[in-house]
Amino acid sequence: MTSDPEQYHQLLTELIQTQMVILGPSTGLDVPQHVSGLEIDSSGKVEKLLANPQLILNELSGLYTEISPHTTKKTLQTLLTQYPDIQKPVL
Amino acid sequence: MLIAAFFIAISLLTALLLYLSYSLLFEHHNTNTHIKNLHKDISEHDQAQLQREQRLKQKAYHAEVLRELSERIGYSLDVSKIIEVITGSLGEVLEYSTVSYMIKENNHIIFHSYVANSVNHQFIKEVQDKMLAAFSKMIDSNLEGIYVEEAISGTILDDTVTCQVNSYFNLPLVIEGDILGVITIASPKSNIYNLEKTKILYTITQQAASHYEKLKQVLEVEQRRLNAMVASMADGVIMLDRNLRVIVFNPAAKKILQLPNSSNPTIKDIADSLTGKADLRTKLDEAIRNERAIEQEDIIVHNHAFHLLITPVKDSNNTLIGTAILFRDVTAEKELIQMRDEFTAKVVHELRAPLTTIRGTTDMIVNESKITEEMKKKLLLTMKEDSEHMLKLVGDILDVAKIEAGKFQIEPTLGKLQEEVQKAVDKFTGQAKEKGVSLSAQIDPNTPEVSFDVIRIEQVLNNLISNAIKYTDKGAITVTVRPEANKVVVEIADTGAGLSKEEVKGLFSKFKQFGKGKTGKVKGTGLGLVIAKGIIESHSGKIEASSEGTNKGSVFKFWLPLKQNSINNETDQNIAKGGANQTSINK
Repeated sequence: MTSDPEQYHQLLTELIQTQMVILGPSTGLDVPQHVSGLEIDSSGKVEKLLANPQLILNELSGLYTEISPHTTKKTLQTLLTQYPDIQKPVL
Repeated sequence: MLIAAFFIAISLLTALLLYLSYSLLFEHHNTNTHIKNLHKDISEHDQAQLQREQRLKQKAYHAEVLRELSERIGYSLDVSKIIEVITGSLGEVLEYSTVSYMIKENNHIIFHSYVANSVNHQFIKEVQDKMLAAFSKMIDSNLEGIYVEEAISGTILDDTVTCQVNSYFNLPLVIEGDILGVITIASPKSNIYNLEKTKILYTITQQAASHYEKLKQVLEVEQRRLNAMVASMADGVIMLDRNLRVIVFNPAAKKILQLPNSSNPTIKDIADSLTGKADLRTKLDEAIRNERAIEQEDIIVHNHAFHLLITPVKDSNNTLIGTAILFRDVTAEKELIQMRDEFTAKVVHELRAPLTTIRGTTDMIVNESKITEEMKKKLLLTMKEDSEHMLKLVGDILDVAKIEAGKFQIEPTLGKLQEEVQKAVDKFTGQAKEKGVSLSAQIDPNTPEVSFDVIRIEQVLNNLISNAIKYTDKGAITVTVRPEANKVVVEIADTGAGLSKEEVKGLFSKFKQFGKGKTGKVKGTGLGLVIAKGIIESHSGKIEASSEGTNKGSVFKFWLPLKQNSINNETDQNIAKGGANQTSINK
């Protein structure tokens, strides 16, 4: 099943915005800045995905996991249930 | 021509001026560029220097936190201590106004905020709200409206200060997969935190959690060991917390108190079960109030005697954390004391009776003028018999004392045990025949030589064979000698009175057997079997008795080891044996 790019937009936005609450806005927003091909606004909303969205999701999840493994995995687990077509990132 | 030359000159001059101007400009530009580059280099250098300093500070902070984690936390599983260590030297690496932590405890939240730079109450409230939001998100449960136990320390809050939370970041505190809480660092300054600065704190928080997990595992192993130890203790152990709630109630305590609700007893259940025996509540109060152990001896619970010990339990800070109640079963000790007293009384009686007779007889001989020589001789013979009995008694008691003190010594030589057995059988054949009992020896011709003390083994054989004759009225007594593995076995089997299980158990107890030797026709002290046991064990051998029951005969068996070395090596150990309960019987 192919996943809709819009779903990646939504999933990534939700992931970033949840992490902004959990880790605080500065950390929550700083992490995505280190992911190439990902453009977001100051609210954490994804504006553009300029690379393979799955790779972006993998990289972003990996970076958040480095900082806070348990909460990231828990957040992803909850979010991914809403997006069954999206592949679970390998952490 | 002149005009043309003038123009050429002007042109050349202009060109020269232009060239000069350009050169100057170029040089100036170069100079400027160089200066700019220099400035840039200096600025970059400064920035690199600052970054290096920052990295060094972070490393130093990291090292300090790790050191403190091991030193300060010790064996305490106090999460707030870990948080204190993480946040303690935070100022070295980050600027902040407040550092706060929030942890969930039962049905409420503990919120603690350390104020480094004065902020107002609203700032703290804002931090708290943000932390609650983060915590709710982390545990996927709305914590809004939950009771928050708040504590503020550090600089006094100042509501005249106008400020709000403009920068903050959260450090989730997760241990063993459980979200325990969150640490939040906040400042009224804008945009002062970025990942580069804060990443080290995330790393440290994870390391601290890992340290905590390892410590917890170690403590859990220790706890399991301790629990197993307490559970396996013969003494009844009850542990109470500060609120007198029962937190440990070991199986021995269950067995001792036999409470109807033994799976989850309360202090009331325990105190009630001891009503009339011990006032547990008063003793607990006394122990806690006076901060010292309270003892009560000789409490009788379900026919057992106990020594009760109540001890206040304190932590490393000398703070009371609970109370331990110990029930030590002293029934056996009490019985032993009683048996010793009885034994002493019996010994005194055994010595006093013949002495009284001797004194009376002496008085008679001295004072009675009409006493005949024949009567005098008879009386003197009685005195001799009584004296011999006393000597035998004193000799046996001394032997038993030596055995018990581990000072009983033997002089073994290599010889044929079967020959000594045969001699003993021959010696008692007449006596057995008089009772109408057959006495025979069955000796295996392959029995090898063995090392033994001839006199002492003869003493054992005499005791066992004479006992067999004494308690056998009909039938046969068979003494067997045979080799078996690395030992020589001697067995005295009779068809006599036999022994009950209880009697077999008490055969080698001096307390239970002393004085019984007088009941038969053959006079004795009752200590023969205790001494026999001591002699055999001094040879590194073993003696045992068995019987199918009363009137079903009995078998006494002892064996001596074949190896000379084993005797030499073990004799010393066996000298030390003896045991207070070793007593004998003269059946």
